[in-house]
Amino acid sequence: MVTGRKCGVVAALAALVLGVAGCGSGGGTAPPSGTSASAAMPMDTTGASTSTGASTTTATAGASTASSAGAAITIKNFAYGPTLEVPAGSTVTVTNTDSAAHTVTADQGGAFDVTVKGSGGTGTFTAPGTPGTYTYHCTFHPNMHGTLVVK
Amino acid sequence: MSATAHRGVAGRRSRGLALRLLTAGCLAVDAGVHLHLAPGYQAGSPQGIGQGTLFVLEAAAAALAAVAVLWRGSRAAFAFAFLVSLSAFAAVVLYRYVDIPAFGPFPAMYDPVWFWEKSISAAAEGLGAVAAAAGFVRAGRGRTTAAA
Repeated sequence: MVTGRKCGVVAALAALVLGVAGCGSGGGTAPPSGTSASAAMPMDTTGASTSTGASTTTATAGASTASSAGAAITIKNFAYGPTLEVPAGSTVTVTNTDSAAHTVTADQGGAFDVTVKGSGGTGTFTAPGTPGTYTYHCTFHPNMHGTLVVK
Repeated sequence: MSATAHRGVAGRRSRGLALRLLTAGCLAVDAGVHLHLAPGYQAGSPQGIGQGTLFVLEAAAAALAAVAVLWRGSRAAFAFAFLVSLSAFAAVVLYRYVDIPAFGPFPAMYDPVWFWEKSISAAAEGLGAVAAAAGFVRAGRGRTTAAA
């Protein structure tokens, strides 16, 4: 009887561990695959929204290789900084000053997604072609969130 | 045994059980949060054995300690639970405030923010360490009383 009670307690503990491990959403997920099955869906868009926002990305480590002057996101201390406004379709450069790698991943629709290595790594992505407000996050670190406004 | 003495024994047993459940619960939260965060942190800091691997090892140690505390409730079990909880609490606080570079198999894990999961885990680790210490002392007293 005692053994049965202990087994029950252990089973309850295991259920709790699994429950906590499974809770939450979006945080601590696996690295992005770089592809998305759905079209870009900005939060506040004008006009029809299609897959026009989907973009390819590039990333490098070490020295900066920004291909064009203009908009930039600098990641520092696990934060993206203030909201950034960019022209539609422009190139956005991301610089990561943290030691850990980060991603800049659109919350919805795979509008953009770039992984940037740590310790000064840089990457670029093309801003969506549809004006609107795009929130994004880091798929590695669930606390990191930012906002990109496309004009 | 008188009714008063019987109630005293029952009270001590229930307090002991509560302490075991509290310690194990804190360890379970610690294990769950680390398992939840491990994949992302492994991708973010893969140097050495990787931060996610360390999280999985921490989760495994916490789960093992929780089972030991529930199953045995011995001094050794509480001592193990205390070491696991305290080391995890010390690590999360240290890496929150100090930028320690990578060394040996350990990657740089500086993470200068608090967020929901991390805060819950740290609180559980701190509370778990206190509960485990109390359980350790209590288990020692029980042994002393039994020997006398």
